[in-house]
Amino acid sequence: MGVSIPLSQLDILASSFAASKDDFDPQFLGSKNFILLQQISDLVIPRTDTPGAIDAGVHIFIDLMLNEWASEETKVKYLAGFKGINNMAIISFDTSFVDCTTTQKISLIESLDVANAKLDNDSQIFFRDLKWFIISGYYSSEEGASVELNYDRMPGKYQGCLPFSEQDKAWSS
Amino acid sequence: MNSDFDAIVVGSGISGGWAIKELTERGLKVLLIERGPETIHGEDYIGEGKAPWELPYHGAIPEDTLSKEYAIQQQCYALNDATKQFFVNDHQHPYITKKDKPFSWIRGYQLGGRSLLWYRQSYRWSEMDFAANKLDGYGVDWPIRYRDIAPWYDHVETFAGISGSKEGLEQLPDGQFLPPMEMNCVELEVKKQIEHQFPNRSMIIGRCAHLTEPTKEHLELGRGQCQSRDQCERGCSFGAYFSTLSATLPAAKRTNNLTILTDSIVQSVIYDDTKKRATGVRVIDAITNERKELNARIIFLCASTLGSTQIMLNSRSASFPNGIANSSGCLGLNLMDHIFESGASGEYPGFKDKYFKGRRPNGIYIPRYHNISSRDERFLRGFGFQGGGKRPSWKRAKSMPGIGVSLKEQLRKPGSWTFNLGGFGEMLPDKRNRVWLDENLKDKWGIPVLNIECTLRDNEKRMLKVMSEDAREMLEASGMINVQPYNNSAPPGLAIHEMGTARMGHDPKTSVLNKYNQAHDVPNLFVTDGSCMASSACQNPSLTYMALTARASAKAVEMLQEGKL
Repeated sequence: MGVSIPLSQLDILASSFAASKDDFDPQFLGSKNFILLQQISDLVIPRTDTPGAIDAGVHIFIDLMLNEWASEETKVKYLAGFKGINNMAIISFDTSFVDCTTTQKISLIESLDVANAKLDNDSQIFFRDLKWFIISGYYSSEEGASVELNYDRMPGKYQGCLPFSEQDKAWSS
Repeated sequence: MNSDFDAIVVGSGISGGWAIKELTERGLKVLLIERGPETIHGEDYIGEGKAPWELPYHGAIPEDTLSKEYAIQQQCYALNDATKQFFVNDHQHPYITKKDKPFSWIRGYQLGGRSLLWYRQSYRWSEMDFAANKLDGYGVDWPIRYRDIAPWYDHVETFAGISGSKEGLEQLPDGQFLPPMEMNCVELEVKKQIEHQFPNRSMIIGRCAHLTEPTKEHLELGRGQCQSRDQCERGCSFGAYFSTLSATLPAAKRTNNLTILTDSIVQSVIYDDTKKRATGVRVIDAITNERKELNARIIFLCASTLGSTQIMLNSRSASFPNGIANSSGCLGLNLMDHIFESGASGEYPGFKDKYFKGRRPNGIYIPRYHNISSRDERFLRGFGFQGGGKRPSWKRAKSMPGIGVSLKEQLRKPGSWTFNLGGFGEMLPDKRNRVWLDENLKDKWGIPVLNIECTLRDNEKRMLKVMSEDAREMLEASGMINVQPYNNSAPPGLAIHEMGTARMGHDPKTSVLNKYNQAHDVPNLFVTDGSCMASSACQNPSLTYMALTARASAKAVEMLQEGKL
């Protein structure tokens, strides 16, 4: 499955990049990598009628995780991974990732987002891990877990067989 | 501290909790010694009720901490940032295994022990299980039969609160149950199909130590109804699941006969060669390293299977140069765990318009069906399955390509129903599976560490293979698609059902404990945790430890009163 972002979303992407990059000083990533992370986070989980990854602060969360949670090995892996994606942009489009057009960014990410069985280069493997970091960061955030999905703090008695309609949302945990 | 205790109980997990309850309620002055720190029910459940975003790093333990401090413990599903205080730091608590023979020793050193962390599945053993060793000759004959323990199962189930359904199964006797938890639509369908297509098999809702409908006795202890949060291992201030802290400890405290000593490591049991009795224990203060001796008329070792055996092996005297109560030489031998991580999972194409509410802290159970009415030529004894059906959450995205709006839309819905069946099988007693004290390496308190050697043999390997085949067959017969059998090789120990090494038996020459969990060689020494087990059956063992402990406690008090100890 490829990337599909309706055109109407592209403006939102652009505006959300602009909105938050000045608000926060990354603790681990340099500003270029942080913007790169922010842009990829937005491509993976964009804002729709519900919050997206940036609204949930996923890029800030990942920067914090890299700073405080990650081992040295993981830190090195992420820096190398971001560099790899940037290099791909330079080779393909003659400019750094963050300065690519949205279409170029999507096409680049599309080339990295492959099924597990088809992984065949470091950037693809890195993207798989980064994508999971973004997804898990989002759906365990308050916005992702309790606005996008439903979170039930105190469910009470378990009920095993309730009606579910197409309008209903999944439990986040 | 005065030393006029009637009894010393070492360890405060499930077994130790039952020992202090039963002994204090019978009027004994009891000293409970726990090697870990005090844990206060409620107050110390620091992660309880928190949503993922309210936990540091959304619940993930920093990678360096994980690899340096929890190298072994991290294999346990229940370890996360909200529970790590209930697991040992592997670095501080070493043990030795051979490189090609790993054993995962999962431990919790605190008041309440692993009763805070257990998965709470609670099944009786049956007559078949107690007769198994005698029947096929592996291990020594159990000195008890089902009728000996049945009333004690009644006793512990009523107090602990076990939710379950009555099924009338010979191999899995019914008990004193609180109302069962509910199965979901797919589980009901799979149950119907399995029971229809495999006439000697049944699928039941898991029996678990949760209060689905608390009784007066439970409420009086401050316990309440299960809220289906499924964060039990963080601790539950409702006391909705059975633990030492929620149930047996408050019961023992209200007798005013209990004294608790925490942060105190029992190094060894003191034996008086003249009196031919254990007279007390040698204790090391875990924090100050101060050493002292504490005395009592009877000693109950409930320090966990390997913990109790380690203490006994380290209790050397002129009479017992190889460990107290070890005239048989059997102490440390016949270590068992359950074999698992073999089964199958599949997807159910229907019930797309059905969902569930709540995180049921329980699954389904398929009781053993092999080697009951007819003999299976492929292996001895048997296995049961645990598992269940669910609709996966966003976590299924880990193996999904796709990004953007379409991914987000997909993940807003639950996935198709999936179903997993994972076997838990019996491991035969085998004296080559064993533990012993290392001659050189000592822990930071100067106690010799354990060597552990435990491997699966042919019977276990054959059983694992059949588990996975049977699971695939049942899921396919139930209408599942994309059925994936698996047979991962989990290291022994990781089922966290380690048992044996101080087994019960009739004969003092081939066993350590008699039919009342009393050491053959030392009448006032009782060992009632998993170390006493002469075989492993395939049921989760904690309920049996509870019943054996309560039974042994009652007998010990009786013998004490009769002047026999």
